[in-house]
Amino acid sequence: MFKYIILLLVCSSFLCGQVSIITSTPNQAFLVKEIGKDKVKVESLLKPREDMHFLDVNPVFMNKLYFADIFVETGLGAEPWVLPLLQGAKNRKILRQNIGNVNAARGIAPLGIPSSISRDLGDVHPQGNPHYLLDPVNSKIVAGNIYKTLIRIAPQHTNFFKQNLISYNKKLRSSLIKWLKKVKPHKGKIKFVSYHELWPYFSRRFGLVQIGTIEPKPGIQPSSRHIQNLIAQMKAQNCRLIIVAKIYPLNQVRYIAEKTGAKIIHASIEVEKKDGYLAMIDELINGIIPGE
Amino acid sequence: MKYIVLIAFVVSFVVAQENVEQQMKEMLKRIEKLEQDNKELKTQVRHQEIKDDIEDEVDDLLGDIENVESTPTRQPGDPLFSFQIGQGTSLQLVDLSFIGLLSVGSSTADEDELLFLQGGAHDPRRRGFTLQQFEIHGEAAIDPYVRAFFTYVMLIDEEGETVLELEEAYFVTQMLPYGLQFKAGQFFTEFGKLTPHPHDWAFVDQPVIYSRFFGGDGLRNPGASLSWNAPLPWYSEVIVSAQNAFGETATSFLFEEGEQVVDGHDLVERDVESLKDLIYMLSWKNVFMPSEILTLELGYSFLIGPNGTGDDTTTIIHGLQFYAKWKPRDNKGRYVTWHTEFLLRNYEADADPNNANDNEVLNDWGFFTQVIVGLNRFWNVAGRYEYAVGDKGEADRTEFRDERHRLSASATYYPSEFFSIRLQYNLDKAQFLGDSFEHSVWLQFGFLVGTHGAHKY
Repeated sequence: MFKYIILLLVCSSFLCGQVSIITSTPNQAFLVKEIGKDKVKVESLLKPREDMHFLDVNPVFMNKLYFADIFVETGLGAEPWVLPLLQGAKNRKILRQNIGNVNAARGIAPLGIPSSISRDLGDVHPQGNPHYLLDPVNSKIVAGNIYKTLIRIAPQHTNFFKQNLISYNKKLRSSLIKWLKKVKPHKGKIKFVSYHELWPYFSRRFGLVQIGTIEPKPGIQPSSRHIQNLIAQMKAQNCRLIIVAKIYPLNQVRYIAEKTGAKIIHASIEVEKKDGYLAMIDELINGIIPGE
Repeated sequence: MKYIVLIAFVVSFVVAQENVEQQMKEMLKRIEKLEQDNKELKTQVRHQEIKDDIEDEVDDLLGDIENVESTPTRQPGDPLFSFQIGQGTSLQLVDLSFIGLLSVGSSTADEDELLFLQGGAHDPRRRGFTLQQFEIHGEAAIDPYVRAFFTYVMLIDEEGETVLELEEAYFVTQMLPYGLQFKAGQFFTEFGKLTPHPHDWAFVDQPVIYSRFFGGDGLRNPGASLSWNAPLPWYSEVIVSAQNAFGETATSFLFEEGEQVVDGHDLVERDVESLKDLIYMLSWKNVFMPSEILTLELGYSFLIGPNGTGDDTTTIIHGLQFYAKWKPRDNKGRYVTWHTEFLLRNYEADADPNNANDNEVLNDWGFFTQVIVGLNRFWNVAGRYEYAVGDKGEADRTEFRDERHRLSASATYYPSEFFSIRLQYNLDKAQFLGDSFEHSVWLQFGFLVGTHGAHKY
């Protein structure tokens, strides 16, 4: 019985001829699918509404990694659960620095590297802010990192992957032109606050000005005094926008919006719909600058 | 005739005047249209200029989108704790974390009784303050093939003495094929599901049945283990291990000369003469996800090893574990876990002439079942019921073998990922205390400094 199950698993993988890929996040899974199409089978460990910093070290995830040819992780120390999962998976191919491991952050210039590292500053990331995929320009780098590993694992499909990557890059280029054209007249004029320090890459790319966060420090829940200070600051600076990722609660956000008259953008930061990553950024920009 | 000529002249003048006005109007219309066209042209040119600017900007940002072979120039460091020692280079050292647990509380049981009620060496065991432990944990890559882990624990015991323990120090391979992993060093025996580290518990104290079978510090000794992940559609792991059987952390086995584990049978010195004088463990753990939000775990663990009541006496311990976790795949921090473990020990005790007892096999068993409810990212509440009992042998049962019930409730608040405040109430009923119920309340503070650990499942 045992032998047959193992045989079935091994055969099904070979017969399908698909490269089995596990990613940390849905955005990475989308990029993998864009390049690999039907030649890959991809699954994200995190769901779109989960915080990338917190995933349970569930043995079932180890089992998924056990069968993976490639594992894509966010890097920059964002995912403390990756190392114990990799150790438990006992799949040497996908260990860090090995052939099947993709550090998606390779080539990204990180923002927000703290000048000093202390928990006084909250849950800071010593290697910089890991939410770099909120700048779509970085998706080209991540897609390139995935491509380079794919062609090493499945070199027979190199041309196929290459054409798909070029096709993605073209779509990215035309979307980027559309978005930058749309935000150009508003550059430096739109002020916003967010719940968590998620948006430095996005706001740098599209010229938004962040004046504060609802969390006083990363990972620290807001006190009522901090909320009142933030409201005063928003009023003083005429800030009328709150961008909150869907992974964060809305109760305090609604209160601040009520007091300041600010608009709330409740944004997806990971692909939730079938139309994908570029559509997600599109929706975000249209939410911030509607009707043009 | 003169009048006719005059009239003709006036008429022709009026007609000519009308033509001029008409022409003027047409001219004005044409000028307006030209101005409009000019304006549109200018707008188009401006838009084209912006478009060209943005296209140039995008091309600068993206580079040659068809040259997919270009290599990124910057390589971020490994996510481990590291020091930047130059442009783009970091020095990888050891991931270090320091974890402290401090509790304060009181009980209706007196302090001598508390030592028996709270059997864990890291439990709060006295009225007033207890520094349950200060743990220093480190891990690092030794080389690409092997990783090292160590844990030192310091505590101030019930006598006020500072105790330093090398809790764990081992290496684990990471490059073996076929889902195999080899571990060697000083480590906790991987029996059951409950982690041996107090900072990962939902309560301030360890389960009664664990204290009875594995002692206050848990079962840990130098040894080696081999684990294997079976290539099945669910997680299925088999672990076999062999460890030394003597010392204060092997209470159900050789333990220490002069001690007693079961009543009326003193432990004698027993040398390690063959492989049968080691502790062997076999465990099989299976974890399934029947749905995206539900995880189930079923496991069985088996231990066999020598005990110190005679030259050829053996202890066998069986463990069955069941664990279920319901957790929606969002960031609201809601979850419910249900964790139950049954343990059974068969302790073969040799005849003891000092206590006038014959040889006998003494059986002990017990269980704990606990539910933890995560209310949000900052709060959880938990409840636990425990039962433990041992057979009556030739001698009377002592405090660690007679019948015992414990009911616990706790609430924990996490102001941040690195700090916790827990309030716990225990209701104890123990045979050695007669018919009375004992009530205890503990407040515990937990703090973590250093590397952020992963969340246990």
